[in-house]
Amino acid sequence: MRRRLPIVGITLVLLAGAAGAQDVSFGDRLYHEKADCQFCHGVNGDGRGDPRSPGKASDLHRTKLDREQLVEVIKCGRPGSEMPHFDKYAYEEKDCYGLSAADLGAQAPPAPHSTSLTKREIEALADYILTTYKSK
Amino acid sequence: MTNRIRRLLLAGAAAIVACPAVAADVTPDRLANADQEPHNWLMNHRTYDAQRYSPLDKINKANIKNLKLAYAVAIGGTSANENLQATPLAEDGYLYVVDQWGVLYKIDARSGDMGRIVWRMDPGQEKLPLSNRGAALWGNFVLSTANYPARVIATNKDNGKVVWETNLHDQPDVQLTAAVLPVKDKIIVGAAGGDRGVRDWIAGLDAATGKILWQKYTVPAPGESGSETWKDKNQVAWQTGGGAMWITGSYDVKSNQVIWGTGNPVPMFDATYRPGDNLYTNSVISWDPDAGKMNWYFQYTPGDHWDYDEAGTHILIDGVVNGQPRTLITHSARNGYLYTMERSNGQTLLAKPYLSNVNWTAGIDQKTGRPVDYVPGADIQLYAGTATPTVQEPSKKMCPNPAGGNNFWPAAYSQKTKLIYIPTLSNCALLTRNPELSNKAGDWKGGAYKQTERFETDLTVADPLTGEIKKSVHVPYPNYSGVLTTGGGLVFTGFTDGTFVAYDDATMEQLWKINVGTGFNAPPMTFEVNGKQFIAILAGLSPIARAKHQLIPELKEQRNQTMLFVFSL
Repeated sequence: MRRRLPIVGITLVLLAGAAGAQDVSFGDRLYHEKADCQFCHGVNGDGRGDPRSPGKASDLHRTKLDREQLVEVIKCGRPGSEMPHFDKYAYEEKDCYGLSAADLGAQAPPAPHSTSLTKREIEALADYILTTYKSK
Repeated sequence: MTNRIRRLLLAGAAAIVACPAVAADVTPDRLANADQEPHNWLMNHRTYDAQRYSPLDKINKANIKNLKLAYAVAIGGTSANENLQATPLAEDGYLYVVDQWGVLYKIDARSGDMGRIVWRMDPGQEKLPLSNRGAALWGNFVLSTANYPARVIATNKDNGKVVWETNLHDQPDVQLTAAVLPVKDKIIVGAAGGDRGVRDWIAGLDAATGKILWQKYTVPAPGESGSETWKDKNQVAWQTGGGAMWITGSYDVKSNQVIWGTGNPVPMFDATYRPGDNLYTNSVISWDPDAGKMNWYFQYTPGDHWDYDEAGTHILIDGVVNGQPRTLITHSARNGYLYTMERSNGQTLLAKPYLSNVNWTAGIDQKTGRPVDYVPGADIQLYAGTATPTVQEPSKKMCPNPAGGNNFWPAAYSQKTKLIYIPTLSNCALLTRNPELSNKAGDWKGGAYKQTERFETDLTVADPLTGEIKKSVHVPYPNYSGVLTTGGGLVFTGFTDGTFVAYDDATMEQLWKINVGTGFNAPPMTFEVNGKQFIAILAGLSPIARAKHQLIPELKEQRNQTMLFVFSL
């Protein structure tokens, strides 16, 4: 029994590693393809997107946001800026910042030009940004 | 097997072998006389004059109501967020289109009821966001561009094999997005990527080998003619000055001059980074295609604050003015004015607004073509002041919005009506200058604009010899497509909501329409096979075009597909 423990341990580490890598590649695909974050934030996350993308996207390498905050910004967008809300229903009620679209008026974040995302996708995207760009 | 059957099979096999027979070369003479081949569309704008008029008239006002989808062809499909901006070429029953990734397609359109892809030439371009606006024909080559690195490629028209490839990647962000223009034994190439801080250029290549024969920058280096209009103290702005040539130019065969518009100065929204007029941005330039010598230039909006890039088509027309026959150029400028000028020297004949809400200038001097509020020698032009951002007021309402007016979606001239049909964006926008974005980290934007009004279209008809607006049709969706005029008295265009429309060229009454569910940011064209006329257009919106739906709630869930649609009676 004792002999088997390390093997179980190694297996768990390997599984965890594989799961982590998978999560990042999912987020990578969301960033570069489905959600098309690269259009504004750039292919390398440096904020150098298409020059004709709206607004000025932040450099994700310099983001100070933690996972929870990143999830919130992706879900809700940033009021008063061009950062869109990827949760389709973000402002139908008051799920974001306690405000509705009616409360925000012209300051309401736009819908994305690409597509909305599910909670699971938003979290994968946040994990990708944290793993790949933040402080790197 | 009887002898008869054997003979039939052999004959069939021979026919199959003969089928991909070597097509006729597209000679310089054929290109110079492209109007003499009404069934074909041999170059990006169909003819060197860039009129985008086809004399084909089998589809006309009387029968357009019977127009229907003949077939469709899926294009691209190798990556997400694809878009198509090219005008298909047509030669003797075959179509040539290029997708966003520089993949070139030869499509067999001879049957009239399907479009089989004969071959594809994939240049192996990295899937980074950009555009590709078309291919060209020369000799037995199909010429196309690809990027990362920026290249011009000659492909054997018969079998799709690359014959030569020339690397033109002289700066990290340079791109080639316009279809090249073959002229005699040369290929004229305009460079793009200016908005990313590229100093752009035009080049002449040997068509047979791809060898670079000449290359001229549109932004002069210190000491060169025009450099005095880049007046920043540190003399660095010219290095990232822009002046992109991202739409195919026109060519006057008789006077042997290539006419090509140039893009905005960079940073696009911050004139304080680059004091002066910033030659030769926002200009039309006449080039000698043989040596690359500049014959003359005319600058539309000196010291631009608004991204009033003038790379869009310059249409060559002939007309009688005050009883005198004239050879002219007409251009529906992104700054909201229709300019008509003398072809030999760029001297303005007229400049009249084609939009009713232009607010950046009080008007254009009809003799000089300069804005009436232009101050010669000023570091920063204030113009009317209404739309000009200042330190005190960095945010201003600007009309036209930064996308224009008219832009890369081409206007067309009808040889039947002698009128120009201009697809325009009619809305304004709120511009904010931000010098903190006037650097590489700021993407050389120099500011940003906000959508404050829904992007919509005025399809406006004007007389290029008087500037008079004859008709205007308002459509509640943006036009990023461009216009085709035909001998059948029809005007075709598409909208970003997926609607493709035909209008009566005299009354502008809508005669026919279809909605295909995916938007258009490519121009329509027409061709004929076996005596039957077809109308073709590529569909699939760029993220830039889709972003214009921000204030159009009914298109919030519209999806995107890259397709070639072909219509016939």
